[in-house]
Amino acid sequence: MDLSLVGKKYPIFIYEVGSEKIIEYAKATLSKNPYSLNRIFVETTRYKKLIAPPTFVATYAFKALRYVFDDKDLGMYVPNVMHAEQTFEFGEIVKSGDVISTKVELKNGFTKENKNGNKIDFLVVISESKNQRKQIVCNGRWVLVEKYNV
Amino acid sequence: MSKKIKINEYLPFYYGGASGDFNQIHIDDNIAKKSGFKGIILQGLCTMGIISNYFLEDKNPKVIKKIKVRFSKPVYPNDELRIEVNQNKFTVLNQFDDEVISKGEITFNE
Repeated sequence: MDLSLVGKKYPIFIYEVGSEKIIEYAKATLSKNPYSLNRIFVETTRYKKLIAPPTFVATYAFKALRYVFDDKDLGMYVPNVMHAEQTFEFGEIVKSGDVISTKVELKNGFTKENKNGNKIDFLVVISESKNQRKQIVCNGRWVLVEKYNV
Repeated sequence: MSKKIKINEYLPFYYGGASGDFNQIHIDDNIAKKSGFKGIILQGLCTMGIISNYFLEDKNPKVIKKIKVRFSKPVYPNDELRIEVNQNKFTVLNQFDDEVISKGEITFNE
């Protein structure tokens, strides 16, 4: 990939959070949490709405990350791209009905060689997601690796 | 703390639908093999989500402040994972005792 593009920022992606998607995501990550799965239970809380599991950011921010994967100038070959590291730092909770805006930026990039002498590119992408009240809901740091000569 | 977590063979497809992550290495055996894997692999963020939910249990999701992982080795359908926790640090191992997540850290809100 073209690591000279470090510093590039992508358009803001807007995602409206739905109850069914929270439930679908919670089940896909083997959650049993009543805040994310039980509509009757959440009626007894002050939220009154389903709350997304923390890593639901993988849904609303991943769609913003698509801009990076699909960036022809960056030139990733996605089947050779591995997710190496991930950090999420959470702010406000995300509830059904929230509208999340996510912006991503190519923060850093470098190349290494593995023990076989093959080139490996590392790309660090940061994401910032805010709700409709402009409160931070999650900051993410995504480390992606593209292998060559697979 | 050590609980075994079985990875259902259909989970990469189910998670793909839930998250939108349909990278071919998660759904196409041939592409995955061409990319150097034994077959399709689970999305790293699915493993991370499972681990996060393991720590969360039935508590309010706001209790988790930060989570950090390094994806060391791929997780395959039918793998059986276990989590080893030492204070706020953790590792995730498969049935062969390979670390699939290393240098895991989790921080909770007070």
